[in-house]
Amino acid sequence: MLLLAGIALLPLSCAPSDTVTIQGAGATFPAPLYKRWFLEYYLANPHVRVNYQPIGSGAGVSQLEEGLTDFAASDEALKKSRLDEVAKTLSDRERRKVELIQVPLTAGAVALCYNLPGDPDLYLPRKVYVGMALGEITYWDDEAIQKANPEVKLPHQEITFIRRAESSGTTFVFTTHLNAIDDRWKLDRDRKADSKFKSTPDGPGASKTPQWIVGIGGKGNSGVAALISQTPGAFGYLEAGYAELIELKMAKLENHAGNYVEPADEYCRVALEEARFNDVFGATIPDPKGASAYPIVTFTWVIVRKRYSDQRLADSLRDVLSYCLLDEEGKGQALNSKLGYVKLPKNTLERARQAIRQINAEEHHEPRK
Amino acid sequence: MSEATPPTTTLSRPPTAFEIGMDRVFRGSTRAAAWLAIGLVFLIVFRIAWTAKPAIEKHGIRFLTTSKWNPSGKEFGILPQIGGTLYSSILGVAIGSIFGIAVAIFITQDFLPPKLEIGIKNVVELLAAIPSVVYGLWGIFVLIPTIRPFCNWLYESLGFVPIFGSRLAGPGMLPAALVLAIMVLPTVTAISRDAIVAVPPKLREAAFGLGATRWETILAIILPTASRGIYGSIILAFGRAVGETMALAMLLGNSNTFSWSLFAPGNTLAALMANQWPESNAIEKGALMYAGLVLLGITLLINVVGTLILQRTVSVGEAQR
Repeated sequence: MLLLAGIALLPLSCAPSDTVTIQGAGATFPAPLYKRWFLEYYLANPHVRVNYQPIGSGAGVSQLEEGLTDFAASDEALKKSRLDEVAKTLSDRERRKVELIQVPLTAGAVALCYNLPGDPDLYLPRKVYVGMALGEITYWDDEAIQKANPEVKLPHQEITFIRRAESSGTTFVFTTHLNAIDDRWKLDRDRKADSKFKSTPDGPGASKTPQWIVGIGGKGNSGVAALISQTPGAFGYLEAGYAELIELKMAKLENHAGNYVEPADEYCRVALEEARFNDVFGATIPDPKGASAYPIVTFTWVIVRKRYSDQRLADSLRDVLSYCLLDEEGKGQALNSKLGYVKLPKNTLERARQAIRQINAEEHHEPRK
Repeated sequence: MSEATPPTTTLSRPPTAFEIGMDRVFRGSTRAAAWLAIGLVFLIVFRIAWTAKPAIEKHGIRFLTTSKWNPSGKEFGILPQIGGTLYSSILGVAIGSIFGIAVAIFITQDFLPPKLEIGIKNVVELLAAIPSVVYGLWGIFVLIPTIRPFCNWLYESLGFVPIFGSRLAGPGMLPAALVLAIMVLPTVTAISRDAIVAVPPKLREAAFGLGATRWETILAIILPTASRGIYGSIILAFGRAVGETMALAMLLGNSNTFSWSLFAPGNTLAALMANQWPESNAIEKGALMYAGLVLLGITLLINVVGTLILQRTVSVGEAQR
């Protein structure tokens, strides 16, 4: 009734400004899921449009810092210091206190994919996939790979390692895992004194831009996916959702407990449950311990302001994000597994919902133009 | 006619104040536009140099001679990118020029009916309208799978030759150079064609008159006379090849190493900048701007060297004539 009265009172020319447009930018990792969510939300609520640009985690945070977007998305949880820095830049520019919160919205696995004739199922021990990414194992019929896959006749073909060309959150997740499980991958300063690789040359290290030893770079998850699908003998890492999208074969990886696990929803969830969040809701799980845990998983976060200058923007954004955290048939988290992503564990979901509720407008607000 | 016109109604008269004013305004605005263009170039160079200043001071000449690009460790070196830029451009322009000049000769020397000549010219010029991302995709999905078996056969049988010294897995120098060649083809063809068409018909007829064959005429008369324009087209093509970004980022493999092998992946300055810029912090941005400055320097060098070669060949050619 109130709505009807409101419409009746407003002149017709107000109609276009009824649409709220929310600008976001950041990680490519969750982009297919975010786009689907925002589309579904738009279909149900045509007055709210969310424009999400997958330009990379770091770039997304920079755009937020420059005040160009309303929210950022990142695969790497920001440290408290970085979060404060961004908030301070914004506060200084806008001459008011800006507080930021980061909230995990979804999670996913980094899959190791390959392109081999006949698409065999492969089991990769930890030493082996590190060796392949280091360029120490160069042929598919290497003894170490063959031993783990006795039923498969592996071809005598060179391994072409495919990785990201640019700085990337997916790379960070992948290299953080390799860094945690193998001393060869570490920078020498991170190796313990009793390691047998101490004082050997630096490994690539855990970073968004590690010092790769071998490999061909593709731009974005989709670039890597295209290169793997086009290159016989290719081996590379990418977000499982992208791999599923173009039906690349994903390896079963040996986890901390010594079991071989595929990046399926349930095994990723086992890994995610182990997350211990810090006070800014960040966590990494470099090497999950669970018996059936898939070893390379990550949450992916959005960074939003606590207070927006516009009431409608704040309400819309809060509502959109609450939708993403719903767990009902065909909505929010229920869409995750369909697109190759993983639902947030129950307690994380609850905490995320609480965090989202904090989003509001400033007390005395001016309408946003 | 003019005799019949009475002198009182003659058309000649001194220009009015308005015309003089218009003249001045026109001259002034052309001058302003010309200076503005030059000023803009200087402004761009200055801005790039200014942003690059911290990196130049910090890394100095080592930037050009080392090969690590490590933003987290704040080490930057662009030797492999410089090598990759030059290698891919030289290869691409060499292949593109051979074909481009051949096409230009073919469509100007009466090998075909004039209508067909115009048709071919337009089709070749259409190549310039294809976006470079499309070239990149075409390279990944069509070119690489097509040339891969042949390249790997070369590697297996002639692998001891350095330029065949590795396997072509996917992206690499050869596919990148081939796509560059196609991209510069229209530039070379269009300008060479104009230069060849501009050769006075007298020269050609005289050569035929002296009993030269068509082949001799083309090689000894037409091409030397048109050489200035042809060299100009090659230099322009080089400028395009050096700065080409998207197709090379997709086809060269973005690997910060340099290899003489035609089948190995590499990187170029432009691709490095395009890939690293969006996620870079202030320190890395400085280093990227430094790389941009180096790229500008390379382009300038090519133009200067090209102009010098041009002057030399033209004066030699004229002395012979």
